[in-house]
Amino acid sequence: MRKVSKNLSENIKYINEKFKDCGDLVSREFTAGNGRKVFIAYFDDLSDREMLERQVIHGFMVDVLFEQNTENALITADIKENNDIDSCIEEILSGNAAVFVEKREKAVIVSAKKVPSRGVNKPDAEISVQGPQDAFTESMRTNTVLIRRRIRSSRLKCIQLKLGRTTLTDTAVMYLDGTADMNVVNKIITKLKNIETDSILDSGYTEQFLKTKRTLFPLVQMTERPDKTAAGLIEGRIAIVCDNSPFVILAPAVLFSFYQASEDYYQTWQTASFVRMIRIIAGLAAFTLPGLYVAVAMYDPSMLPAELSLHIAGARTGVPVSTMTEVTALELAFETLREAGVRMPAAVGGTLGVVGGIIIGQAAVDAGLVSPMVVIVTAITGICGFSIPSQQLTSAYRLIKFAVIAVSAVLGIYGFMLSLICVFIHLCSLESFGLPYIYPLGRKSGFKDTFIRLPLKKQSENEPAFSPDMYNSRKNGQ
Amino acid sequence: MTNKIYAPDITLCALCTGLLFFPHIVMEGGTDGLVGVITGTVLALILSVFSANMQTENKILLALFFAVSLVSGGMFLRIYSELISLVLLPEYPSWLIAAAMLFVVLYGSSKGNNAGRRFAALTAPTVFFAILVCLLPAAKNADIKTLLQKPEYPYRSISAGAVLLLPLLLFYTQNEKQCAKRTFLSLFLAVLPCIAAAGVWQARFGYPSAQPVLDLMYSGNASSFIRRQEGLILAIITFSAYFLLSSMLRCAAYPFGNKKYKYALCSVLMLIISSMPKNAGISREIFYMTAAVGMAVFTILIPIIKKVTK
Repeated sequence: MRKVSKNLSENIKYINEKFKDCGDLVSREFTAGNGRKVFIAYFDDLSDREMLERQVIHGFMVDVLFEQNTENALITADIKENNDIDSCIEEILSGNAAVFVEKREKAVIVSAKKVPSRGVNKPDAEISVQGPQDAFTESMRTNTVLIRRRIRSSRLKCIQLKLGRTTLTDTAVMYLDGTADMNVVNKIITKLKNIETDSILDSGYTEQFLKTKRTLFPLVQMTERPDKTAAGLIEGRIAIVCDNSPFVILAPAVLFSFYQASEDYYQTWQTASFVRMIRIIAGLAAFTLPGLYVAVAMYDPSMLPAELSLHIAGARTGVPVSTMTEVTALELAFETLREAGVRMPAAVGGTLGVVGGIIIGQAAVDAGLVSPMVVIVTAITGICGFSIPSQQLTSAYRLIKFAVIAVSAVLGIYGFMLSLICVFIHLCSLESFGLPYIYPLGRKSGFKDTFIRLPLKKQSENEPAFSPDMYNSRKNGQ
Repeated sequence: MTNKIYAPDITLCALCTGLLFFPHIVMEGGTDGLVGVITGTVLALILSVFSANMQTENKILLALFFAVSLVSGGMFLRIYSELISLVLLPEYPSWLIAAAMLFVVLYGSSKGNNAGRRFAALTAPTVFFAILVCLLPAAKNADIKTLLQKPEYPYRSISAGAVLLLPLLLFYTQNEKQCAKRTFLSLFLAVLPCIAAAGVWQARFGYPSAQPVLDLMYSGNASSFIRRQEGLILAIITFSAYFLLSSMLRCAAYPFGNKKYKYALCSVLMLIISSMPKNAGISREIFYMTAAVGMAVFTILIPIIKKVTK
């Protein structure tokens, strides 16, 4: 730790050395109203220049009483003193201004952030027809404000950290005191503090560092919706808000969390339950349907009704490759098309989807390269994947389905069942900060918001669902 | 770990045991088959509870426990992989099918006991319901009265005697009420497919079946959409077969303590036992006797040793 020197020149020299070749740093040395020399440093366009000129520089120049109390010279609401010059440099990098006064061992840090960011827009990844239409932005402070707007309680705590040795990304850990499990909160804070990396450019980086097990399945949830985050906090979860990222991390996260959409709670419970069931069945189909088709078509077509199995066999007439190759190739083509659609500009992306999905698919069938049934299976699998609200879970299913296809191709329906066992065992072995990933499956209670969504009156908010302590106490009491 | 966690373990264990063993017992035993079923369920229950609460360092007992678990697992695997080979994958040798199952069992064992318990709790209701839907229609032909007669064969006598050892379960459980609940649940689950099997056997009286399990599955009726549903039922009970094998593997690996290779070693040995040629291997009769006697011995020896050593 290097202390702020009483000698102003030393401080100026140190600052200039540290920020050598930083043309966007604004620094000015001036004489205050009482004859003392003052030095201010901030980054242009990262700090509010007008506010600094009006409130800070003008304040020093006109007020002669700041000898006794420096803070009184300034009219700003948020100022603090700091005797560590390296810490002052960090504050300058964060968008604040540092003011050094001759013969004073402490610098004054003035909060003057004016970071350019876009306004609050509609969510892009988690669209809902009904309900709030605001989404998080890249500004951490804006995001915490959007959450505080929804939870107006002093129990909502916000612990701020800086992650990344070079980027020093502002990160806020928010939780509801008295509801969240403090063991989990402390665990998360410890993990975040122990992150050893130069850069945290997005919450996706943080998510990867928080993962404790090697798994394709997400163990924390990413969301761009403030209403979902607020609901998660009320349930006992913890939110991690990263600067420069419009996605907030919610932890812990269980499998059913990824099947829940915000819209479920803005509709009637009957509609929501129906849609939830469809999602869960679609989720299962998203990684099992191609493998099941391969198993049945290659090994046990006699399991199907005679007309259907004859139709499938007839449709495959002339197809030069095996069913497994057919299915794998078409799934890979679908993944390529999906990736191309994401990268394309919006104006072209839609056209590409039509060209790829309809024209190329039809052409492939007409050319005899693939059978129509495989096109249908691939299309249904893709649609099932899109019906899951969480892109994180869909990504896991996209990879797993290829493994299921491979095993089913070798061992038929027996292999298909074995691959299902492997997937279920893997899910059963996962835990998200002490909570079993398949929670509440295997238990007698906790099903009020899983396969179906019971009426809000029956969902008691006095029983936070995401507290491992609660889970353990119920388990021991059974 | 509380006793409630074992409930799905016992359920799946009994269900799979019932489905794949008991039709044979009913077919072979005929009139005393039901008694054999009940004792078999009790013994499976005892083995499961015993393995969960085992607290002995005696090397002879550990070796015996290892041998019984390994042989039981190997023979079960043999029966199951032969069925799969017959019904679903006729062009594959049964050892390959057994190896695939053991690979999955090994993977599951590497995930720890918690994962196994959760898996059992997750799949027990689904598997049970699916099998119930498929097999209950076959029970309509059963005539229970003809099944309740005196046991005639020696090994069934020994098995029947094991019923009297039921109170010994109290040595291994912490809660008597839970023990009683689990026992009755397991008996119910084991008897159900047995009644269905009896119905199949009685309907085909005069035509002894070489594969009573398949006959049992043929007689079911899950859906008019699906043909060859014996393949579907066999695929569904893969879940409970997995669980039974993983329980056997855990039992067999128990004497090795915390050694890393224990599951892999026991898997290989189990595969070898399951692949042994029929003529030089263990016949089904000897297997039933070994399993029944072995498990009955454990339920007598351990309490006596405990009392003596106190």
